[in-house]
Amino acid sequence: MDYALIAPYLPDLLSGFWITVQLSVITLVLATPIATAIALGRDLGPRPLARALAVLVNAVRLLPALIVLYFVFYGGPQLGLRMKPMTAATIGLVAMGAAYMSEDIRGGFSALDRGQFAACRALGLPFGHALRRVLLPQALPLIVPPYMTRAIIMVKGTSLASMVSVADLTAEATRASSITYQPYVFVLLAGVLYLALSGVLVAFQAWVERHLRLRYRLAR
Amino acid sequence: MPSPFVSASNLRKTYGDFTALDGVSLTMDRGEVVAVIGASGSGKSTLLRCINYLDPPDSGEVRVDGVRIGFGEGARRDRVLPERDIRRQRAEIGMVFQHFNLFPHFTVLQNLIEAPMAVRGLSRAEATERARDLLNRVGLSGREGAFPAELSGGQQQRVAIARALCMKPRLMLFDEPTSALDPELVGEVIAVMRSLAEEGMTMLVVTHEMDFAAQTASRVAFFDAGKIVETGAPAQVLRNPQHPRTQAFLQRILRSH
Repeated sequence: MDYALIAPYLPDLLSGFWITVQLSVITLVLATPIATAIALGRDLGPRPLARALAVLVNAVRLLPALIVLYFVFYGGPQLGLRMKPMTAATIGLVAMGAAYMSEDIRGGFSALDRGQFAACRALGLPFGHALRRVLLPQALPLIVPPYMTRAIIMVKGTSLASMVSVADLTAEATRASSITYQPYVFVLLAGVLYLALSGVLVAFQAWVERHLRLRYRLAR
Repeated sequence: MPSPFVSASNLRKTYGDFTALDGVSLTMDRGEVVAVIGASGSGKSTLLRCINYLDPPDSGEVRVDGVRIGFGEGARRDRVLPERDIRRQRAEIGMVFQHFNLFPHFTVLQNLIEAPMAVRGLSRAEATERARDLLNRVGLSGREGAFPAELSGGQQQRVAIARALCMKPRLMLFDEPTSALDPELVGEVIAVMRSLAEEGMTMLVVTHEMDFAAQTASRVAFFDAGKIVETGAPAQVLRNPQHPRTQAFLQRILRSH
């Protein structure tokens, strides 16, 4: 690989990578609690709330991610919501991510034995306590694999932000490619950086699964 | 005349088109052991779940030691209590399930002390002392560190009984406590329940164990299609049933034994 070719674009590529990292972290950090709340609301909330959440989740889940991003970025200003590309991208990606993730989390909870809920209630345990100490620890080993897969998909999905003028890794790599006519080099470089980022998540998943196995000794 | 310790009056509960409880009334004195028998799906379990408000009845009233379960008194008698107050009421009523429902990721000891610490505010030391005492009573001393999956069904059910007792309940509800057990493990659970009855615990037991009903219960109630159709002393209901439904049920049971 020709370093002299890459060098002039390296600062921009690294800054793009940094934006991709930020977008990934923010999206995951915001989507996870929202997804958990949606999952619990749908599973245990009053029926009207559960229905409304189901409609919302499906509305977002069934649309192409790019359409959601365009809607926020281009549609927002028409409704008087002018925002920076990064903000628009974050809102769109969080909405998509939370909708998908809520399904992964809900799957984990619905696999739990209903008797566990009944036992917690019969003992008079407050719901928050039951959730934290009894239900989540049992649901987590079921949630982690699909959740982490989703997290990886979301990280890769941040590249869509480049379509709404966010100067992320994909945007910088395509820009350098179109200036130099050397897409092979820059797209490959971007791929390696995405691989590194997703690789961190894969390693994290392995660590979490090991930790859960040791901690709870689940006989599954 | 003193009011009964437990009174359920005119309980109704439907699930869609299915009527689980069709105007059920039942009273129990302190220390009484009432065995509820009847075919599957006749509403026996629903009765238990309505008594501790795990399933709110559609109408009717439950009182335990004078306290109305799930609702306020006086001016607030039509208002459902806040969840926090219902939890407090439930903590006074122990419940044992057909499938034990132990927490699989906790050790036996942790299963016992979790609720006393979280709900009753006991220190770990106090709760542990109480738990060891109870494990001793149910014949499981030394198994504190075991996980539920490492125990037999009979042992798990004895842990579940100890877990309920660890809250020092005033009433115990048993929902078919031996139905999920291998036949050779039924005896050890029945023995624990019998000793609990002898100590004066008020117990409402949904069961298919006719021996337990005959020998330990002070009263037997026969359930059919959401109603109690016959109730009385075990000898009377089991040996000399008056209602044709009871006669038919007991004959089926005898034939299958």
